[in-house]
Amino acid sequence: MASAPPSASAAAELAVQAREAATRREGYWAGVRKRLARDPVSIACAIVLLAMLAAILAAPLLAPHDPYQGSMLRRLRPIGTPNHPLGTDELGRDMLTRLLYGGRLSWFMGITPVVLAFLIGTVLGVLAGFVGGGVNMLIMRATDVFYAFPSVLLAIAISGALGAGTMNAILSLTLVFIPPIIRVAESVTTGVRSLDFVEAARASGAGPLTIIRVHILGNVLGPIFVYATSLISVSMILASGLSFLGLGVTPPEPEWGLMLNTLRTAIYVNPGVAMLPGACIFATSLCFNLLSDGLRQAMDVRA
Amino acid sequence: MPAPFQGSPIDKLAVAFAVAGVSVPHYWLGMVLVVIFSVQLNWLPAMGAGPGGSSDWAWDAEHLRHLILPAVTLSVIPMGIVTRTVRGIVAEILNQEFVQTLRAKGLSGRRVFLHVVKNAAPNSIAVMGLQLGYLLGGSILVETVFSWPGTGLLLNNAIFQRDLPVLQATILVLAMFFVVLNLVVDLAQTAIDPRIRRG
Repeated sequence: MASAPPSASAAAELAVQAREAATRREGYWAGVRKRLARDPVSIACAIVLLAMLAAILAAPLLAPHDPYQGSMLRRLRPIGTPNHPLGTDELGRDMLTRLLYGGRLSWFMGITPVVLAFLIGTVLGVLAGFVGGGVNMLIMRATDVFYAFPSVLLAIAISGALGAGTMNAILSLTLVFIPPIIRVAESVTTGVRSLDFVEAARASGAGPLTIIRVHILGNVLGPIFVYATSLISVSMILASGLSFLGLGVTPPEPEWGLMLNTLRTAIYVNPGVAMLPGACIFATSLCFNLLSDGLRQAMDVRA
Repeated sequence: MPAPFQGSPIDKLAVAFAVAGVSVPHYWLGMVLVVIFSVQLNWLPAMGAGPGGSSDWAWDAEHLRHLILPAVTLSVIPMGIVTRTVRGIVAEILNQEFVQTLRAKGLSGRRVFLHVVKNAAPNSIAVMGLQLGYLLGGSILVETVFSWPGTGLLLNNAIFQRDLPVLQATILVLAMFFVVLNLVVDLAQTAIDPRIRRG
């Protein structure tokens, strides 16, 4: 009886601790967001990217002209022409309109491969890292095969074999990005798998699926996600590069890389307009890169 | 390389250059350089590998002039990647205890720097080797921009003419070079750093 008051206070203490622990668990993401919000570079990049995304999504509303409507009389007008603020391209189509519409395809082709590779690569990598043994051997040796080729060469070779087309370009880029994501996922998972709390979970009777879902994925997704975001800028450059070579989007569809290619011959006539699509690719990829760096620092993930 | 100056303006400038270098679409950069140095200033040739093309290469002024723009364009991305990685490697080494010990022993800044370079070399060389491999494939876009008669342009033409034997052969040769290059990098690493020797 005499021990009742202290144990009651101990219980209260425990409750407080539990509540603190519970709020602390939420606190990780809140902390990440707070650290990210304190980084002016990341904020600026996020704003630029969001503005760009809004502009290309609202392209039908914002665009002053039809992206396919050309005119032989209005070819290659310089930047600042009345009615065509960013000039016209080699077929007399309005550049502002085509840049807005082109952004849709460029963004789609840049981001989709990374998302797909993130999903597939994470599944395979975590599987390889968690199961180990023969499965690990099989998956990792298969990814090693892809490392025998430089990545750009691989993307171009696969696209070349499949033929031009948006979907083929996305497929080839996805194939190129899966192996590095598998490697990252496998190495992080192997690191986490041998930690004590996984052993504790297994000892207390958790099944392999529960362990993967709660203990492995919870610790592994962050680093893989950060790595995947750093691939977006590479993916944008490569996707537009494939279109630039004529292996991605086919004309007359507007896409930044393809526009850069068709305007290449115009650099002697009107260099300003010819540089615009590339400047868009550069700005987007730079912002994604800086944002990814900020995210890496905010989440405290090692390179 | 600027890690010893962490946080200083030199470091910030180098990091900014590196990020820009990693993010730039190099085929676009090639066009920008052509516009500036060939179209506007008329200093350097816009395309080709000089008189005689690939059949008649020589290390003379006329051929080297043609090499400048493509070489600068291609070097930007590897430069960015190498700067970022080496900076990370050096920063990690500076955090280790032996650096503190060296400083405590009273070694001058330059001697400490030599130790750091020696420790950073193996990993840095690995990164640079990988970038060399990347250039084997990455040059295809830049070679197209500059009409440079190399493997990249050959590959590009083979794709569009559906010339499958040439395509296969080019990719096979490039992949072989890539694998051999990786082997050389591994061997170089073991030669520099006795700790990596395989048991």
